[in-house]
Amino acid sequence: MGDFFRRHRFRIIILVIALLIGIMLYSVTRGGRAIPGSGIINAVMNPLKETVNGFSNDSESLLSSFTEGKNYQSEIEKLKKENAELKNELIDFEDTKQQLAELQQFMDIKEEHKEPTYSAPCTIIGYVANDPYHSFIINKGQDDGISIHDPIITGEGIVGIVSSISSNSATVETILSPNLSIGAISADNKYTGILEGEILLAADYKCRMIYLDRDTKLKEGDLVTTSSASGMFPKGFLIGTVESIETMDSGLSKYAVIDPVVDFEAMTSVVAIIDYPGKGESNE
Amino acid sequence: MNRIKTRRITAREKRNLIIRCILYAVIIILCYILATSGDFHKPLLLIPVSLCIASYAREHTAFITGIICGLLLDVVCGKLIGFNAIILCLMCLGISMLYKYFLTHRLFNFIILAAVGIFIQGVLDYFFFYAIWDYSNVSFVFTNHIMPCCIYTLISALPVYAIIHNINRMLRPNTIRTIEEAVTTDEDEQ
Repeated sequence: MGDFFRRHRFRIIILVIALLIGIMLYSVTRGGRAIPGSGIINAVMNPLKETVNGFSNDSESLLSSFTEGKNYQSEIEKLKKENAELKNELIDFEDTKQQLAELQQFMDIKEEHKEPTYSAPCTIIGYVANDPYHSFIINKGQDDGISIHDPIITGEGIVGIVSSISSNSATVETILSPNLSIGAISADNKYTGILEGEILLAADYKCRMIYLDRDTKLKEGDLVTTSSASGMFPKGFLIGTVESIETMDSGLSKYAVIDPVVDFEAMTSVVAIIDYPGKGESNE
Repeated sequence: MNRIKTRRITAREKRNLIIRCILYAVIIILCYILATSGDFHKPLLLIPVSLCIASYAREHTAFITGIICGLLLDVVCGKLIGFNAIILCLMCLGISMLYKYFLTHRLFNFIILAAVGIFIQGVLDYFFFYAIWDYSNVSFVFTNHIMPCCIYTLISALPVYAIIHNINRMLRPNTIRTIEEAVTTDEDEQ
């Protein structure tokens, strides 16, 4: 056995381990962008992943249709869509009301409004294995105009941001992750806070809005949307509804438990916002 | 001083070696794809697969298998590229040497080694990606994500062992042969 450590093969092994440490350090400096060559692996593996994941989703849907009843399921889907549309309309209404009040006060201020630019629909081709924050992989990457930290949404509301990217795929970190801090505001524009994930809440697909005043009037059922404070998301995208208001461990402020409008378990495709006014700018 | 000549590899052994490599590659790819499908707790099959292949391989082959499976595991788990590669290549190297010098191919031996390997990987994963970042309620990740994943992976090590053990039984050159077996095989080859 001692011979092995004296042979030149052992030196090669030490060199390879050093190389792996080098790769590790190099990938840290890349800040989420994939290391060169990973695009080729993805090009080969993505179609296979897509097929297997599609099969997995189909089986899951088949099983649920047996247990819950197909009609019942489609009815829920329909109601969910209607509910999301109504919630979005409510936000528009609140926004319009606010804008009207502002315009009445400052007649001479013209607001420039630029629409966000969206990517083509991205299919979810896989999930990060055993991730407590339910991160997933989409089939679009840098070649499709998506870049690192781009916001990801569905028709219902926000999902997360792109945390790592290669030429033809990207990994999305959801709003359930404590690594994300997104500016949030109540739909009536009265209460602001920071949306972040929390490990215990992530298990139930929920997150929280922190840094609320101790005397906040935010209550159960209130809608929460994105603010442009963090520069990570454009303003006015629906996040979810307030489920409860709790006091932080420090006792200095409160936080709201948020039930996201997006159904993370049933999601099959998303859209990336590749450009929007105030991208990368932070008000804080 | 004259060196003892090693036995020449026959055409049949070469063919078996190629089939074995192809089967290993297919198993590894399947494990990689299965790990990314579905948002639920799954066993990390790449760990027992790499450890089991290593138990039948020489040191350098085991080491390379560990690197490949480790890099794939990094991609699958969304971890820093190289993190699991370093862990698995060292584990595979260790297992290969243990089998070469001390252990025989028995299910019990493999399960013990796999349990140790899976637990070490789980603890290192927890420490470097959760514990040191000081998230609130971080122990929940260990009890509700890492440990179930380790248990599932260990259970999955049983069928993995059965598959790889059978591949090797059928396709690996039998190094310990009776005189009758050796004579019969050599006659067949001639």
